[in-house]
Amino acid sequence: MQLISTMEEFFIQNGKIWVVVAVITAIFIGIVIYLAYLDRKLKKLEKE
Amino acid sequence: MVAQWRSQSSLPAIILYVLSTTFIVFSAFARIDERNWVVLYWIILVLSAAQSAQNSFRDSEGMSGWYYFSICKVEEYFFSKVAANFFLLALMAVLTFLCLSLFSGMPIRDFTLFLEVNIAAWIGLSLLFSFLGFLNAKIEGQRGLLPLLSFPLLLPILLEVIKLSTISAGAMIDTEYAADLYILLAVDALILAMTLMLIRYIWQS
Amino acid sequence: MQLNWTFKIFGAALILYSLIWGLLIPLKPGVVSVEPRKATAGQNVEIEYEAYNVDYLKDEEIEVSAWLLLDSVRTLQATDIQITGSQKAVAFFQLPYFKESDPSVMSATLVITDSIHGYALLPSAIIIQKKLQDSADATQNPLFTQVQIDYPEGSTFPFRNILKETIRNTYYHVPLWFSMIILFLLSAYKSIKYLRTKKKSHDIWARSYAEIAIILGVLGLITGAIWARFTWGAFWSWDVKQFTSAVALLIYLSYFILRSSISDPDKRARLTASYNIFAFALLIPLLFIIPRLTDSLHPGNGGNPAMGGEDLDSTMRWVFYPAVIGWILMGLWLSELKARYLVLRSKKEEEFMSVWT
Repeated sequence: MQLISTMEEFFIQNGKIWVVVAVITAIFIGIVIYLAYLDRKLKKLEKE
Repeated sequence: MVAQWRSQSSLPAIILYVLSTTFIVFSAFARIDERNWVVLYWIILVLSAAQSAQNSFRDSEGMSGWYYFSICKVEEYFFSKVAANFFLLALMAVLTFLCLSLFSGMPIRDFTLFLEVNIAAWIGLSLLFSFLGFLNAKIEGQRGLLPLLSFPLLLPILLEVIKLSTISAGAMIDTEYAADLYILLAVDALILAMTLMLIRYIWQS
Repeated sequence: MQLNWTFKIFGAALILYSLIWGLLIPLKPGVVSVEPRKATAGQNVEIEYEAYNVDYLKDEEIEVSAWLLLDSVRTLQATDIQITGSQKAVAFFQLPYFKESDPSVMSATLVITDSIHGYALLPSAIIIQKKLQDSADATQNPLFTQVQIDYPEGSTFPFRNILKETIRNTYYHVPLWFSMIILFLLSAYKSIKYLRTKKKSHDIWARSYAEIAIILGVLGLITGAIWARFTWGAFWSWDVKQFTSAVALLIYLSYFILRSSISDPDKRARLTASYNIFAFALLIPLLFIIPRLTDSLHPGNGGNPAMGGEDLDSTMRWVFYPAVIGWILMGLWLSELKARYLVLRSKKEEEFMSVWT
C-alpha cells in the first residue's frame, strides 16, 4: 500500500470508498450522540 | 355446562353463511383444481369459524358476564364454549365439504388423512378462536377488528393444514408428512397450554 | 431492563466497527462472465472471461493460470493465457474427447488464479457437447494437471456472482432481524411479569420492547426488499424469511391495535399482555413451520439466501457476530429510552390526576 502522507491521499484510496465510510460514520455517531443526549435528559427528569 | 352448549350460536345463520360462500365460489370459478379446492375449503371454514366463535361469546359481555362468573369456574365456562365451537366447526366442515363437492367436484383421495387433518385442525381452531373471541368480548370497542387481526395467528395451523390436505387430495407428493401431522398436534397442544394459562387473566374484570 | 453506560457505548462501538470493516474489507476475486458458453469435445477453445476485483495490468510479472474442471479426475489446464485488459483475459484450452461412459453433455467449472489476487471460480462456466474420438482425428494431448489454489494475504469476503458487493448487506440487514426477535422475546417476558405482579411499569416496558422491535422489523423488511430487488429481481418474492417477518409484524401490529381499542388502562394491560404471550408462543412454531412448507413446494430461492446463517465465511463471522451483538444492545437501549419516557409521562399524568381528585 502506498504511503499516506496527507489525509487527502488516505481518503482517495480504494476508489474513494473511505469517503463513504467517513460519511456514514459521521451520521451514525451523530445519532448515537443524540441518543446519549436523550438518555441524560431523561435521567435528569427522573431525579426530580 | 350443557346449557352453554345449547345456547351457542344460531345454526341457520351458519348454514346460510356456508352456503352463500360456496355459491359465490362456484360462480367465481368455473372449475377449480385440487390445490384451489383445498385452499377454498379451509378459507371458508376458517371464516365461518371466526364468525361463529365471535357470536358464541356474546353472552360473556357486560352483566351476563358477571352472572356466569358467579356460577362456575372460568375453565369450565371457557372449555364448554370450546367444545361447542368444536362441534360447530365439525358441522360446518361437513357442510362446506358437501357444498364444495356439489358445486366443484371432490378431489380428496386419501380420506383418512383428510379426516385426521380436519380433526386436528378443529381442535386447534376452536381453541384459537375461542381464546380470541373471549378476548374480543371483553373489549367494549370495535368488534369486527379482532377476527381480522387474528389472521396471522391462524397461520401455523392453516399453512400446515393446507399442505396436508393438498397431499390428501393427491395434488402434492410428499411421503414424509407424518412429521407435519405431529407439528399440527404440537401446535394444538401449545394453544391448549397457552389458553389454560391465560384465560383467567382475561376473565378478571 | 436498564443498561449500564458501558454496554450502550459498547453496542454503538460494535455497530461502528461492523460499519467500517463491513464496507472496507475487499471481496475475493471472481469470474463475472465467460464467452463462449458452449463447446464441443475435442475442440480447441478460446475462452474469453472477465474477472472481478482483479487488476491484471498492475504488475508486469503477474502469472495467470486457468483450469477447466470437467469432473473430479479430469482437470484441464489452459495452454496459454493472454491478458486483454485489466479485468479481461483469454484462456486457450484443448478440450479432450469424451469417453464412451460420459454423458452427452458435461458442464465444466472455470478456475482462474494469479499470483497477486488469488483464485476464483465459476461453476458451469461452459457446456461441452460429447464427441468421441474418431480414429482419423489427430491425437491430442490435453494438459491434465492439478489445480493450484492460492490464497492471497489479508482478509477478504467471499465473492458470489449474484451478490457481488451486496454481500456486505449481511452485516446491516440481518442483525436487525436478530435484534427484533430478542426484543419480541423480552416483550413477551415483560408481559408475563406484568400478569404475575400487576405492576404498571412491566406493561410499559412490554409495550416499548414491542414498539422498537416493530421499528427494527420494518427497517429489516425495507432493507431486505432493497437488497432483494437487485439480487433476486423483485422487491417482494414471497420468500420464506420475508413472509415470516411480515407475519411477525402483523401480529405485533395487532397488539398495538388491541391496545388502542381499550380505554381502561388496567384492562388494556391485562388483555394485551395475554395476547402478547399467546402470540409470541404461536410465533415460534410458525418460524419452524414455514420453512418446512417451502421445502416441499418448490426448490427454494434461486440465488443466495438473505440470511447469512448457512453460508457465513469465517472472515465474515468476525464482522457479523459483533454487528449482531451491537444491534441487540442498541435495540435494548432504544427500548429503554422509550420505556423510561413513558414511565415518566405516566407519573406526570398520575400527579396531574391526583391534583384534580
